Formats: sequence, C-alpha cells, structure tokens
Amino acid sequence: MYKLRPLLDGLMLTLKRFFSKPITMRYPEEKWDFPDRFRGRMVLLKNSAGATLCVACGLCEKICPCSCISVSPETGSDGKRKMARYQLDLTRCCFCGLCVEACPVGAICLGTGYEMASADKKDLMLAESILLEGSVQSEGNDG
Amino acid sequence: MAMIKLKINNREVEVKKGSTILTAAKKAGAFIPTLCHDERLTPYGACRLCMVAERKKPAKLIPACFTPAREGMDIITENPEIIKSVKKQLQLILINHPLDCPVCDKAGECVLQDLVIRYGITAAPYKLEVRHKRVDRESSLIERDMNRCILCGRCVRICAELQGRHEIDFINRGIKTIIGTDGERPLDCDFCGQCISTCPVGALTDNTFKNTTRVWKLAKQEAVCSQCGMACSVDLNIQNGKIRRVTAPVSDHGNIGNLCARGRFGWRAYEKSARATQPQINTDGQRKDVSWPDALSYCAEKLAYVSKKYGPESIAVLSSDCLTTEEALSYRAFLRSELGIEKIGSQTAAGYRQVLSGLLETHGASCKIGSLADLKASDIVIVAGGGAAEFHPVLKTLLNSFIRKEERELIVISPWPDFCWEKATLPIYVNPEYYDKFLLEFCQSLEGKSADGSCDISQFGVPAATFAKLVSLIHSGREITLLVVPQLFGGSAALVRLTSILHHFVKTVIPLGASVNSRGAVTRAEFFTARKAEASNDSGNENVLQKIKNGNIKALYLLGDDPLEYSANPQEIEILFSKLELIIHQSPYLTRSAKFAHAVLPSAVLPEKTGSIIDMWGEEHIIKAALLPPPGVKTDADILFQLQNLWKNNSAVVKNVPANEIISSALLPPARLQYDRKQFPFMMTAVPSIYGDGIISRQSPEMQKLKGSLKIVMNADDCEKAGIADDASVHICTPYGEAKGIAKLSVQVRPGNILVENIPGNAEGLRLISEQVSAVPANIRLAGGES
Ligand code: SF4
Ligand code: SF4
Ligand code: SF4
Ligand code: FES
Repeated sequence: MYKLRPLLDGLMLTLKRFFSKPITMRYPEEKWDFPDRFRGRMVLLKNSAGATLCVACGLCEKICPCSCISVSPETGSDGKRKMARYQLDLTRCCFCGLCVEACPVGAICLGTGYEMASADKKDLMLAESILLEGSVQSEGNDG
Repeated sequence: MAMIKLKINNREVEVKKGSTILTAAKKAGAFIPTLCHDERLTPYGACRLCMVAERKKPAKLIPACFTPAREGMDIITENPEIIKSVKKQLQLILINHPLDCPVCDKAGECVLQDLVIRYGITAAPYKLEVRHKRVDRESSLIERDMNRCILCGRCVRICAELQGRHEIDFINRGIKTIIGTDGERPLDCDFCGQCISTCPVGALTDNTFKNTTRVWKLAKQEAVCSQCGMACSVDLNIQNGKIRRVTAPVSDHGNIGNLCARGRFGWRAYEKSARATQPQINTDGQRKDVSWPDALSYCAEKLAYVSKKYGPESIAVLSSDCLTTEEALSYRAFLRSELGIEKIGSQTAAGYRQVLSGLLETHGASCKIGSLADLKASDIVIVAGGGAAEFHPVLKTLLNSFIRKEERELIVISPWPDFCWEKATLPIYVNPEYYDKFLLEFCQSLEGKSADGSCDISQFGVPAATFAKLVSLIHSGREITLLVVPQLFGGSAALVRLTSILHHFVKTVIPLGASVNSRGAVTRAEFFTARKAEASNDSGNENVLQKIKNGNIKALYLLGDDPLEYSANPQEIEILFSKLELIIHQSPYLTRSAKFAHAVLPSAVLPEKTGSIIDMWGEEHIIKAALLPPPGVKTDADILFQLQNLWKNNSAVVKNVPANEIISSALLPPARLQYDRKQFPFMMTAVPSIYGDGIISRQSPEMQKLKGSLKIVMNADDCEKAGIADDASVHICTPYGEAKGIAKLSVQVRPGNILVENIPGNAEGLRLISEQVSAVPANIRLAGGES
C-alpha cells in the first residue's frame, strides 16, 4: 500500500489539473499581452505629421554600451539637421534601453517586437526603414 | 621684461608685468570660466563669467580676463560668492539661448554647454519670450544662426582686429542686437573662418562640416597646410580616414590658431574625387590605363633613351615645391647622378625662386634671410610689391598685430591697393606702368648714383615727400624687415635688384610667394644653386620654358607643376609640348598638362606623406602621414624608389642609341609686339587671389566657387564712363590676347588701372599677360558690344 501512495498522489494532481484552465499558449497562433515596460526591439518614432523625430544628434550612439548604433545626419531641405541613416546591430544590442534615456527628442523607444530569430545575420542589422516600420506616433513629444 | 609675483589659490606664480589675472591663473593651473575671451584678441570683458576675488575682499568680484595682475595679489578663483555669480550669469545667458544642442554642430565642444554642465545649471528661473532671430544660410561656407549668439563679440573683434576685414558687427540695439553685415546681406569677405574658430557657441558654423557628423567622433591629426609657403599648422579632423573639417591648433608657432580660407575650407582638394588615381601612358596617341610597374618602366626606358640620345641637357624638371625635403633631396640626387640634371625649376614658385636666387647670388651664404621672430621684433616692415597678404593670407593677422604696437611703421610699395597697402602707415602707390622703372630708380637713389632722391619721382605717381620719408626711414637705423613680393608671373628683375640693394639697409629679408616647401627645396635640397658665373636670374625655370621654345628640351618631368596653367601664352606652350618626346606628369591632379603627357603618375598630397618641410620663415615642420593615399596613388618617394630600381636595369638596355646633337632651332622668336598705346588706354596688372592660385587651391571646389571666373577689377569712374555695371560680363584685351571676365567695381583702384584676378589655371586669362613686364596695356569692352 505504502508503495502505491506516491502514484496516487500524482494521479490526483493530474486529475485536478485536468479540470483547471490550461496555461500553455499555442505560440504562433496565440501571443502574449505585453507589460507596459516590456523591452522589445527598438522602434524609431514619428510625429503626428509623419516625420521622423530623430535629428541624428548621435547621443544614442555615444551612450550605447555595446556600440551597436550608428547614425549619420544630413541637411534637410529647410537647412536643418535630419537623420539620413540609422543602423542598429541586433546581434550586439543588449536591450538596456540607455539609448531611449539619452535621446533628447524622444525619438527612439523599446518596442514590443521579440521575434528576432533569423537564419541570416544580415537581417539583424536593422536599417532606419525597418526601425521606422509600423512606428507609433509619439504622444506629446512632437517636435 | 619685468616679472611680478602673485598668488592664485595659494599657489605662487610669476608672470610678466602687464599680464592679466587670467594668464596668471592659467599658469597656476586654476580654472576660470570664460566666454568672451580669446587669447588671440585683446581682452574685452563682456561676459562677466571670469570673476575672481582677492582673499581680503572675498565679496568684491573682479573680472580676471581684464584686470592686470599686480605684485603680491592673493587671488582666489572659487568661493560661494563667485559660484553664485557665475551661475546667475549663465542663467541670464540661457534666457536668450535656444536649447537646440541636438541639432547644433557645436555640441560637444561648445563652451556654453560645458559651463552649464560644469556649474550644474538645471533650472531656468528667468522666463522671457524668445524672439526669433535671423538664420543666414545664404552665405557660402559660413552659417550664422543668430538665435544661438550670446553677443560676446569675439567674431566682431577677430574680424576687425586680426583679419582687418570689419565684415561683421553688432547691428540693432537692446534685445534686438545681432551680429550682422551691413544691410543684412550675405557675407562677402575673406572667408577665413576666423569668426567660426572663435565663436564659443554654435552661432557661426562651418558649412562644409555642417550636419556631417559630431565633433566627438573626430580624431585630430596634426599636419601643415600645404596651400602656401606659410605652412600654417592645422588639425585635420578625421573620421574613418576621411577629413571632415580643418581646424587650427593654438600652438607656439607663429600662426597661433589662425588660418585662411584655403587652409580651413580648401580640404576637399585632398579628397579622392579631386584626384588622379590611375597611372596612364600615352603611346601613339592612345591613352591607356596601365599598372604602376608598366608606367614606371615606360618612364625609365624613355628617360634613358632621351638622355642617351640628346644628352642630359635635353631633360628639364619642374617642381611645384610640394615635395617633402627628404623627397626633394632624393630626387635631386637621382636626377643629378643618373641624368646629369643640375637644376630643378618651378613655375608655381617662380617669383619666390627668382628673388631668392638673386639674393643668394649677390650675397652668397651671408644673405640675411629672416624668420618670423625677426619680423615680429623689427620696428619697420617694408613690403616691396603688391599682394603680400593675397599670397599668404595669414600674413594679415601677423601684420595687423605688428602695427598695433606703437612706433611701428609698415611701408608698402605697391602698384595696386592691396590689403597691406591699405593698412600701411606709409603706403606708396606706384603707377603700374612705371613700376619696374620706379624700382630701378629707387635702386639708383639708394646706391647714391642719381643726383638726389627727388629726381623725377613724380612721374611714377609717388609724391616727393613720401619718397623722402621712405628714404629717411630706411636710413633711420631702426631694425627693418623686408618682405619681397614677386609678381604673380615673374617679370621681377627690377625687384630682384632692389632686394639685393635694400639688403644692406635691413636686418632681414623674407621673400614671399613660396610654395609649401620652396624654402626647403632651395636651401636644403639645392634645387638650384646660384653661382656667380651663371647668367643672372637663373632660378632654374626661366630657362626651361625658354629652352623648350628654343627646341633644346626633349623631355619634361613635371613634379606636380604645370606650366600650362601658370605661364603666359599656354597655347604656344601646348604646341611646344606636342613636339616633346616625353612628358611625365607626376601630380596628385589631372591638370592641363596631363592631356599632353606621355605618362601620368598619380602622386600623393602632403597630408599623405611623412617627412619634413621648411616653411618660408625657415622653420622646419616634421609631418606624419595623416591620411592614406587613395588606391592607385603612390607617394613621390615611392615612385622614385621604384623608378630607380627600374632605371638600373633599363639604362643598360638602352645603351647604344646614336647620340644626336640638338639643333637649336628657335621655334618661335620672342615677339616684339608693336601696338598703339591709344588702343589700350588702361594698364592691366595680374594680381593674386586671396582664395589661392596654387595648384592645390585650384582643385578645391569651395575655393573655385569663391573665385569664380576671371575677375576684372576696375575703378568705378572708369566703369561709369565705359558704361560697365558691377558684375557685368566684359571682354578684356591686351596686345597679347583677349579674355572674357566679370567686371568688379572698386573705388580703391586708381583710374586707368585694371586688376585681373584668377588668371592661373585660366587658359584665356593666361593669354593676356607677358612674363617680361609687370603690367600690360589693356582695353575693355562689354561682352557682346562693340569696342
Ligand atoms: S570669415 Fe573672416 S573675414 Fe569673413 S566675417 Fe569671418 S572673420 Fe571676417
Ligand atoms: S556669433 Fe559667436 S562669436 Fe560672434 S558674438 Fe555671437 S556668440 Fe560671440
Ligand atoms: S596662409 Fe597659406 S599655409 Fe596658412 S592657411 Fe592660408 S594657405 Fe594655408
Ligand atoms: S571672459 Fe572675462 S569677461 Fe568674458
């Protein structure tokens, strides 16, 4: 008898779980909700007019502990500084979020993207076009 | 110099009497915040940041930049009172300063930014509605954003005090005050960029640098500017092997932090896009790209062939004096020992060499060629010739500082009102038509040959009293430095004579018009050696062109030089060039001679070389390669090294060429031009441009844009009579040729005179001039109209 006890305990647990709500998520079909401060892939923001907020001041590049950002400026048609190229090397990024903290115009934030696996390393060099994709409009921080 | 002792933060220092507290504090290693102070300028005391106090009266603040140090002072640079005052002052400045550091190119080296961080200013207690001020984006090379200006006045002062240009000043009053030009027009000035270099904030910025990178990404590499003989020290600001901008270090060398337009903005001439990068040879009219070994063995073979066939006399070498001294030495050794060539001429530095060779000839090793220190220490500076500051723009800052001291005289003898002439204490204008004659007359009066100084000096346009003053100053026994300014295109025989005579009366002579290493090439590498026996004025190049003309030359080796772009009548030389058996065009650039060359060898520019150069003041600079040559380019030293190796093999091969005597056939006899003076009522002088006439400056897109086409400067009244408006397109003709250009009105130019700028490199312009005389008769008419 004493030998049967653990087995029954186990079966009991299984039976209990059998009637409770499942916690497994069917991953590709189903996805998590994100907590507010989730640290996912970076996103470059646009203002309400749809213009890139980044002015290529280079502070994110400077502060990045992994040196994974490189940004270069150009002169816009109005004679002001604007971003020409922005590249983020995901193979090195540690999602520390220092770039977000350094940015004086709030042009970059940590997004919710986490599906970053790829067979080609090149896909992990994110150019500005990818970083701006599906970019949310920033609230309150325009200009 | 008397010294005084004082204490800064309890540390004793000794400074010269008359120094400010700030100087003493620097010496003591104490930090004092400053915004309106620049070591190059006289103290001003506008920003009130540099407050210090005496230990006994800690609440009485005194501005350190402005207050002379006194013996026994006991200064403290930091106490609560001082910190409070500095913070308040910064907060007040910030009322009117936009916080646009993210888009400001000054960020990272901005004095205001640094101070705000140092003093921890986080709050802005004073609010004021910020007025939007003008942003000038039209001016070339310099952007002026008056919103960022803190009105320290440094730019105004540097432009006036050092550059002597007075281009910008405070305009408007009160809170509307900005720094601007008259009528708020775009800048039209020397574009020296001195104002940019002094602006503590980002109100004045460099357009070639604007929005290209950030200052903290730059690595500064020491180098020298290679665009004229001043060889100013520069810092090449490099990012990933590419120059982003050029700044001037504050060094002990003469040009403390000063640069001119070429030095600061002319760096694109070093970029790959401006350069030749592919060796080529031209056989049977076919120009083709070849590898380096092929090109060099072709050169070696042909050189050996020509030298065997026609003898060493038949090969001429012209250098633009941009070789390092080491390179120059080895070229000379090779050319002398292997080819038997004694002289290496120069077309770009022809005037400089002519004057220098004249001096070496008459005075030998004892000639008193001076240095910058001599110039600074002398009482009188005589500038013989026009265009000193146009040849070497940073000379402006030196001469402006020179005459600011009392009891100093600046005598300028010039056939046109150049910068120095306008600043002179004794300006002597000589009618360009009689300029050479005047110089000779002046020589005679100095030698005591003519009866007395007053002779008929008036015919030269010089008042007798002025001349008398000149003579008396020369005989005054004070220390005199003589700056000799050659003409842009030779014709300076009289000047050479005058130089060697004035040599007796002066402390030192400094010939101007040099290329970056002209002095090294001549004094160290002995590109020419002046010997008494030789025909005078043989500075090595005079004869080259003459000899080509006479058919004595069969091969021409161009070391960066290009006679087609820097001598009179290039069309004639082109014909002569097509008759030569070999032209080697070894240069960083594809200048016009490349078209005629049998071999094009792309060589490196100075910032890509390691070695030493000697500037025109005689100071030696050690240079280290700051850039890598673009692919396909070799340094001159490399080229020679390989050429020498090939030479050893080749000269054996080409042994049995039948020696040919050169038959001197004067192809084109020197033209004695006959003309009617009435047809040419004006006198034209070719003048140097402040934006540079040398080979390198001509390759810089920025300088080229500033220079524009041929610039014909005329007296305003003359223009009115001829119905010519400013900026009108006009034709100018001389007995030698005709050219098109843009007319510029000037009130300084005397009636009857015409000054023509930007001739070097301009094929049409070069046809106007003659190398024998300093001024040529000319006439002018509106383009399209009748004469
Ligand atoms: S560039 Fe030179 S000349 Fe022009 S405004 Fe600035 S300091 Fe004056
Ligand atoms: S432009 Fe610059 S240097 Fe000139 S007054 Fe303003 S802050 Fe000073
Ligand atoms: S003065 Fe001559 S050496 Fe100095 S910055 Fe100008 S061009 Fe260069
Ligand atoms: S630095 Fe002394 S008052 Fe500005």
